[in-house]
Amino acid sequence: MRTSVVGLGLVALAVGCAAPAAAQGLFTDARRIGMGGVSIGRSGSVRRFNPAYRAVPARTGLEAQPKLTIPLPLGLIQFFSDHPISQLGHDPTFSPDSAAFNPVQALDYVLNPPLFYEVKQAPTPTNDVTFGIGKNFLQVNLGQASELVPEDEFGLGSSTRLLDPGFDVKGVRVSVMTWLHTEAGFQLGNTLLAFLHDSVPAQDNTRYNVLTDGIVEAGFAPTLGYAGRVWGDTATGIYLGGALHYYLGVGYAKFTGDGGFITGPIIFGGTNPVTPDGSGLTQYSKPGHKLGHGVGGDIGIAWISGPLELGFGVNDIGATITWPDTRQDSAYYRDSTVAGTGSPLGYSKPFANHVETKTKLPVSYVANLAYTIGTTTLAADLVNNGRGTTLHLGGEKRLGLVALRGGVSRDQRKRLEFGWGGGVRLGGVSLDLGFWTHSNSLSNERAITMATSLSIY
Amino acid sequence: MNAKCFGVALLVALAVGCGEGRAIFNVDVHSFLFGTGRDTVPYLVPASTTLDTSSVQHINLPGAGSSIVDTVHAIGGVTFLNASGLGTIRFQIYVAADSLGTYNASALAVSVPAPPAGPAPVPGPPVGLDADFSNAVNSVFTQSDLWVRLVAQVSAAAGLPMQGKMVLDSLRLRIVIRDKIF
Repeated sequence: MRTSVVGLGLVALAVGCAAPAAAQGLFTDARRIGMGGVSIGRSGSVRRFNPAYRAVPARTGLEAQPKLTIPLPLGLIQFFSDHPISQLGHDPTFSPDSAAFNPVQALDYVLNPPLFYEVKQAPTPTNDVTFGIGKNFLQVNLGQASELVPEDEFGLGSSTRLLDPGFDVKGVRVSVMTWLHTEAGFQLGNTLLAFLHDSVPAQDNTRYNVLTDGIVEAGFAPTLGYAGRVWGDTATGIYLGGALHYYLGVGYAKFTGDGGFITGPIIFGGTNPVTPDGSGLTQYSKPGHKLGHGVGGDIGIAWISGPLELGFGVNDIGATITWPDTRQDSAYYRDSTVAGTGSPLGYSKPFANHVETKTKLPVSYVANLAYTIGTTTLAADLVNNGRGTTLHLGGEKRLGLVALRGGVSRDQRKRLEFGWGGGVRLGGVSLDLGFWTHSNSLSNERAITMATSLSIY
Repeated sequence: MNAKCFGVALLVALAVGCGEGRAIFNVDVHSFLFGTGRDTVPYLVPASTTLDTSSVQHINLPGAGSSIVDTVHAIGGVTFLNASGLGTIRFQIYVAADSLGTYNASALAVSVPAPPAGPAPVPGPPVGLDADFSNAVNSVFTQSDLWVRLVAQVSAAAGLPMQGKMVLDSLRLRIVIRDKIF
């Protein structure tokens, strides 16, 4: 176990620095990527989060939104060229038993899926890392890489609506929405944070820990919604939208844990310098149990005034799901063989069964602004999907059949990212190219992704 | 690769695996010996004889999986307290992954001559150590178990037997890991 002492913390480091960035979102549309992620049309984040936009007429002509956008995954071609699919199960890069195993590379693929081609890879920190070791002394100096150690809670998460089939009658919509909520969070304990971030020497008889929590829940929601213009005409008008959801939860699992290790009386005095321990509480309601239930809603407003439009939408207001048949287990682990006082002890035992628990879907919102003058459209949006706010600013200039695009965004790491690109439209088809800087890798420097997509109008 | 190695493998990967940075382990070997009595090597060597006397110490390291050790540099010093006899003394360090291995000739990491020893002055001048270890022993430092044998190689001149002790004053190892780890 001793070899994993520092490794444990560095695992946290690896995930921590990359995870917030990954939550910037994975776009598959090169047009949007070329504008820094902003939605200038009446689609994308705007339509997803603002129910009023269901009533706003679609743009026409060259400003029209495509009916279908197909990403051209050049990154996957590169990926499968490097890692043949027939040998993926034995690929040395992903096999821990291989001398060529590279967990950092594998982690990057998870946090930054190789859908598009990486024009510029983000360099990983190249400074020296120094370890000081004595009989009762352990210190790690990560150098510049210590800046990547997350000081606050970090994690991954999303609240997704996969499908929403239904029908509309005069603005009233009846549908059944499917929903999925996932979150995973980590928080370094103070001692571990100081050890990794501030190079504070490890103390004997001290606990170093990471707090973790995670949830996965999914279900469907019969929905009654309305969207319509409440004032004005198609040129200038105000649109309102709302939806009432009756959430039915098919299943969920939640985990909260506290894991780490305790240093011995003398850190390197015995055969094992640390004693691992951990505890946690799991609670779950499997599919097949009684369905969870809850009520929540969405509201939105959009104001269209000629070339200018403003919108604001909020989702999952008050969406608390009550799960009537939940099982709770407590888990505990402590390796007493290290202290010489017993054998490894690990167990998971029922804590409570058939109990009622509650979960809450995160409230998400979007605020958007777009202005079209001649052949130029400028737009901005502010999106919060429950795990931080992302700001996008971008625009598009159409020159005949050619479009030039540019944009900037502020991601959840509070870093500026830049997008640029263009496209050519030939009749009902356009081929688009977009470049986007991102900070989804184990680095403080940006990488550049080149996205390509084909849109059909 | 077991779970333990995975942790350190990831650690070292973060440190150097994907870049050109190095992982540097500064190990205070003396701290493991101090207070155990093993930092002192007493010797008693008959006249006209060469004899090794030594002490062996186990040291825990974090381990570095399949890493490549570039260099191991030692800085330290010993003092010889020669009570009687004349001759020459060498200070030697052997390292291996187990205690028996430290008795193999191939485990010799460094050998430092001391000034010719005599009964006076007592103690003799300190013998400084500032040298790279033999590359042949580099791989040992990727292990989590390191055994170190401190040797006083004493060659007694004709006449009286040499008697005294070698005291380790300090010993620090700087282990540099470089190159791609995985």
